[in-house]
Amino acid sequence: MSGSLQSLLSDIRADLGADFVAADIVGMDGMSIASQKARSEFNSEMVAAHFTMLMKLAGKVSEKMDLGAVRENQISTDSVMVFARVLGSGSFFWLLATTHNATLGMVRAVMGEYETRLQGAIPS
Amino acid sequence: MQGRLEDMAVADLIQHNCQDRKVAKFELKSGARKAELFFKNGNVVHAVLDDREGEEAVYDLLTWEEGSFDSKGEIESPQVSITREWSSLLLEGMRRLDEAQQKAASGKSLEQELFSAVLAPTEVKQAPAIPVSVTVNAEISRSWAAGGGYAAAVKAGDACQSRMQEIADEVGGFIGAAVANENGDVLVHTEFAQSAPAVFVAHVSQFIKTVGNVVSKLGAGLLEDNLLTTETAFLLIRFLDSSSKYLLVVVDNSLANLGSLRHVSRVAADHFAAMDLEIPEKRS
Repeated sequence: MSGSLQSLLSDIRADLGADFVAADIVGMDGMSIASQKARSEFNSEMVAAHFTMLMKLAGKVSEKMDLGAVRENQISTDSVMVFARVLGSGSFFWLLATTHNATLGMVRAVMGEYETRLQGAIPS
Repeated sequence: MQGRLEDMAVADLIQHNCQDRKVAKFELKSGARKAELFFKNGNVVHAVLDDREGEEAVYDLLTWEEGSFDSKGEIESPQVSITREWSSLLLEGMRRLDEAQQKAASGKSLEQELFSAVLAPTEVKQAPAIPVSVTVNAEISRSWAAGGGYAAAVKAGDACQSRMQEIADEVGGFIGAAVANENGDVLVHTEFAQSAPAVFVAHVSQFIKTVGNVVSKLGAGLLEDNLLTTETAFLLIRFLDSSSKYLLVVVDNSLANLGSLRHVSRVAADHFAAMDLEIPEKRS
């Protein structure tokens, strides 16, 4: 697990405060390479695997509709918001879960702030 | 078959022949004016009235309240100038009629209002920046008409039109929008800039079903919406209430305001949720 990535995820958790639920850096093989969670019941491995499948399916849908490559998928339920944002060339994506009450604009601002740094911290 | 329009309105004549799926030619007369209607495969395929052809001729014909009609038998149309499904054609005609009658109350003649673009171009109201064309599923249109008559169906169709138009006007970069169910049935849709609405909906339905399964497996609550961001577009899928129907809005992400997209689609979804958008044979 990358220490730098882990440190950045900790910073993100601090920035989002009580709204933070979990964050993972996930490869397109469905495996998480860095993880941070605020709720013990949050099963990072399961979430990473399912969202990898969703990102791949989203890519196929977007391709068939001629809308270009997928950059992000955001799911809102009555309890959480989950963001899956592609990092760099698309080998990894960033999974961020917040509470349903999180301020969407704030979450997106934090994501924008950390995106490049997370991308740069992925071991190559 | 022949008769008087005072006894059988043009709308009823069209409905009757389309439901019978007859190949037929009808001649209609009202005063000095003459018109022809051709039917085939359950639809009106061609109409001629004065120098008008196609849909516009039908919309004009729907204003006739007196005159006669006469079937000329199973005569094939010389051309196809109308491709719109008959119920949608009638709904649009009735919508125009309704709109013109409301305006007529303000002093102008029905004909002036219906054909103001021809008679008085300077009086045509300003068109919306991005006029969208909305189509309601034919089964639902028929159900509305059967349940509450054409006036109710027109009113419901107008409500769909208004909501879709509001999205297009408010968000920017509008590509298309649709209301669909989890089976991929398109219930209401606008035209889509890049593809047929049914193609968009088919792909999205497959995707959103998988999203729903994932959310369910993870115990992540009740799915409210999904925003897919691609290189060129935002695809917002918002569920109507807790039902299996959803509103899909696709916009160009270089032109759209994301906050506005979320807000306007939420308002529109609430309105669509309150409407009867069940396909009749799928009612439980």
